[in-house]
Amino acid sequence: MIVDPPDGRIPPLTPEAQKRVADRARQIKEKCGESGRVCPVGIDGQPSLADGPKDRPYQERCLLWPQAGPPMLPDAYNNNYWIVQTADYVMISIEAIHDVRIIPLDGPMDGRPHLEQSIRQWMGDPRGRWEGNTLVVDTTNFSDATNFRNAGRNMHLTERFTLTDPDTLLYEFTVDDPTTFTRPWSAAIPMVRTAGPIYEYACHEGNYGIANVLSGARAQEQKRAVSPAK
Amino acid sequence: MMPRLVTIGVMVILLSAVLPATGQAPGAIPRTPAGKPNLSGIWQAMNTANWDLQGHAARQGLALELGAIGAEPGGIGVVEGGEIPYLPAAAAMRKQNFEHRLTEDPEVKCYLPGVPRATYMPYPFQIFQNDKSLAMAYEYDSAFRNIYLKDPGPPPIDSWMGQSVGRWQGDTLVVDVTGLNDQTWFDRAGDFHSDALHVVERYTLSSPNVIDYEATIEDPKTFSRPWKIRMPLYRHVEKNAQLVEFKCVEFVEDLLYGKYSKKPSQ
Repeated sequence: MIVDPPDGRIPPLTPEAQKRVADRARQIKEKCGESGRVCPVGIDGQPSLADGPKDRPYQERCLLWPQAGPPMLPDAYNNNYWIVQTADYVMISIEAIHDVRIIPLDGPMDGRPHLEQSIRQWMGDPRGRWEGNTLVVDTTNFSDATNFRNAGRNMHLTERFTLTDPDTLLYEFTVDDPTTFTRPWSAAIPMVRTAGPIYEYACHEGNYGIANVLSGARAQEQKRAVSPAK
Repeated sequence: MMPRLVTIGVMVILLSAVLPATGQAPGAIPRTPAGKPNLSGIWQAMNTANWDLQGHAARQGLALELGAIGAEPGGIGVVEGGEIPYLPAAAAMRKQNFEHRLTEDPEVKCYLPGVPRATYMPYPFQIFQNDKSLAMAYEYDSAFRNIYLKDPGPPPIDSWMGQSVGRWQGDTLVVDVTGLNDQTWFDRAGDFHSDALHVVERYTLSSPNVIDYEATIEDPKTFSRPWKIRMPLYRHVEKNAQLVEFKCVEFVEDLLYGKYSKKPSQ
């Protein structure tokens, strides 16, 4: 997917970002080393905190999935989008997990500025413009909660959507965050037109998983307290 | 007589001066290239329907810490004829819902709002319309509806926002909503329905910035007859109006999962 840098690798993290990542890992390790706390093994094979919902990954909490991003990346399933285009907007409906990107088509150059700096959003604040036959979307105002491969609040994302044939939409994006990556980098993914319809993905409404992870951790702690491990 | 004629003549000249180049009269509703009323825009109801569809006096809220902020504002109601025609068992259920609204209202849990509630929640929503597609995106919980302009057939499964099929009846968009589950409420007062709910909405631009909104609600398991709500929806005319994220899931995690969280003493 990565087309720049030419070696196809995500550029190294800045020293500042490396420290952020290392501090976070150390905190988890220290907390999980304390007796009386159960840390379930996460999908990366490492112990993960489960003291409360805010310790858990966004996907498990039904907050935001990679398909929404932005950048919008395919995940294990339900990677479907529906795009509606009007004179003033491009609207992208994202199946997982019923997120919507509303892109006003009068970019920063045309007088409609981004939201003020104090308004931060999980999915940032997009502005679109046409460059020939390519829709270019410029997104800023990400929040502290945003975490795209360790980039967040300071990320400046540029996406390019180009129909290369009637059934193929080439999706390209460039991530620029000097507080996280040592240089900007870019990726490209072709999206293929599919027949609908898209069904509702109500994630939070049926989220038994998060309750089970947390109550499971509490039950294990209880058990350990009654018969401590040797 | 002469002065009056002159006045009329001046008025005609003034009127033609303000007519837009497209030839649309002032106050004419916006239309798509194919001539359909163009509902695109950011809209919001301005009433207390989300607190209680029926007329109600202001009352104290149930979250005492919130004081006046949590109080429930009064309103004249949006139900045609004033009263929702519940069947006897359903009326008893509605009463029970009202008493337990603080814990049982799906809105408290940031669940998808269903239809028609999404329309009159105290948040804006945006309509996207071209001649092939129509979509509605709601600020609350990123709720979303695709209004099919070609009937895809019966919905294969019930969902929170249901399946919406739209058609034009003259200048009115008529949306037929089926496949709604029985998990949503109509308001914070416990007005509810079963999975037999069938909603027919009517959106008519009565002037450029006002939609006359009507919804007919039919559910023979809950109501003795179909009934109707009606209200204006107003366009957000602020130059930079936009929906701002309201991803409420993160705001309800402590409420829903706090009981499974580790206590400091553990």
